[in-house]
Amino acid sequence: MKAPVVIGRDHLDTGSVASPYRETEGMLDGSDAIADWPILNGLLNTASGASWISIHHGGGVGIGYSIHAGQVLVCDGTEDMDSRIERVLTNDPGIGIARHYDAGYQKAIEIARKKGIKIPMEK
Amino acid sequence: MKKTKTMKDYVYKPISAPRGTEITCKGWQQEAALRMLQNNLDPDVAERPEELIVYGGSGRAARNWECYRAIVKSLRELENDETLLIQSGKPVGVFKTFEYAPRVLIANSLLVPAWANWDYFRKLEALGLIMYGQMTAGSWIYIGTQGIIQGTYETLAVCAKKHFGGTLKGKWVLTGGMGAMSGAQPLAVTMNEGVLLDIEVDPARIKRRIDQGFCDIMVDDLDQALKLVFDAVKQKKPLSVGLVGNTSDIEPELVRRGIIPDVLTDQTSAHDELNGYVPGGMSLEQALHLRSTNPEEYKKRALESIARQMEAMLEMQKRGAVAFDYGNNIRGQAKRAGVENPFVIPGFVPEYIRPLFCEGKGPFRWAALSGDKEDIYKTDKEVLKMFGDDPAIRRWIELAQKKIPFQGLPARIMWLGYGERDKLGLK
Repeated sequence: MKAPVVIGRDHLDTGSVASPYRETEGMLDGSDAIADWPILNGLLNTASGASWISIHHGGGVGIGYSIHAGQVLVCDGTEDMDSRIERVLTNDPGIGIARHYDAGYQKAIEIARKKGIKIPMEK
Repeated sequence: MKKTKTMKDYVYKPISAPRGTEITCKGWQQEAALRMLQNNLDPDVAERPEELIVYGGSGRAARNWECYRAIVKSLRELENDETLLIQSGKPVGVFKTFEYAPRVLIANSLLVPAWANWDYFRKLEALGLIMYGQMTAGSWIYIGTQGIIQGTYETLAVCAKKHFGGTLKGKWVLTGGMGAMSGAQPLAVTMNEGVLLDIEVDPARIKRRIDQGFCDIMVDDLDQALKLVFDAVKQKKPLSVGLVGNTSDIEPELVRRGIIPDVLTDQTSAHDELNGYVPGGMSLEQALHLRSTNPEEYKKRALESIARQMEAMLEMQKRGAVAFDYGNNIRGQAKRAGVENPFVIPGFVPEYIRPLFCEGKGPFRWAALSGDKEDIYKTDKEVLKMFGDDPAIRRWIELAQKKIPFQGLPARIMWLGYGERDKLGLK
């Protein structure tokens, strides 16, 4: 590589968005409008060392209808950055599994067990 | 009092991110944020860069030009152990943190819930206090239409896996709309090896997609369109046909003829019955005239047309079409227009995307700050080495290289899950 690559994602992701008319429509436990998850996602990625983090409102479906978070990592090849990349790219999808686990999705429960994700109040 | 400069005080000059290895910031972390902010405003990437609008209506990269310049300056001066705070597209503070802490923290468009509506938001926006950040506009990681194409491709790939053994080969999809978002449909269907009939009222939009190589053929005659579709289905050849027409006229006609698609969806601008959806039973010119002279009548006719289209969609679903809503709220609008139960058509997220979310799978994108395409091709190779046994991933990478031009800094997008993202990231 001639220069660093940035890795990021859309706010439309597994554990980073509350949007009852789109991404969280018809959640199994009725938690469609709960926006704690995207906030936790932004905080978790901050704690895990992403390069920049964003928390937004109203994307996709408009003001009043969604809250969501994003992260970007700059892969500069340093050892320090590698340890941050490993944490962010594990924890960022990890909270998505935790979110769907909590809502009672069997597939998420299986994946969490298989991957050894620690969930305090195990189902 | 200090006079605040308005947008008019600046002469717009096109912006694009610098390429290469020379940096103007104190580290690559800051330089990356700067280049990605500038890349969001590249005329090749952004919808209306002169207004700082990146995509999605009014999704901005910075609140105004004065704020943009201040962000650039702040990033250039930012130390390797400092963090810059952005509040709705405006730099508002720099604090000493740690070298391994984030360099930028961004909060955009957030309102206390009881105030969270467009009217109040627009008032604050007019006062210059807030900015609409969409999802990746104000967070500086938009990469152009590749993201939209990949999302549509992924949804159809899951649909194909669920209903047709993993491919749309020999199947046909019926949909409407070929605009900024919906224009991804032709390519997303043919990349899944299927045949598409896409009804679009404005021939200029179909032509644009043909010029880009996203759509194969434009016709304005239903019989001719159906012949093309059925020939391609018979030969199991991928093909996308753009049919000039109105969904609310053509879909009921298909039902009358007993012609039912394998897959049915819709991406017309049904969410907006005034400035988006075009009512049927009249020409596009007549509709545009009615829109400007009698908006109330226009809205009434648009909602009636949405109801007609939805009745046809429900009938097709009843007769075996795999139907889903693609997030344009056509179900909600049809309900308003008196259709009894449009919600028997499922939304695309619960139907296809949520099972991926349960596995931690989601969109994952990367961009080469060097500006060199070869850097992305190198990552493509890595992806194929690591995940090449997944046919959907292999097909995506191979076809994306062939069919999707880079916009701004070269970038790639794909969906990866827990245990995959970190593996690729560390490569």
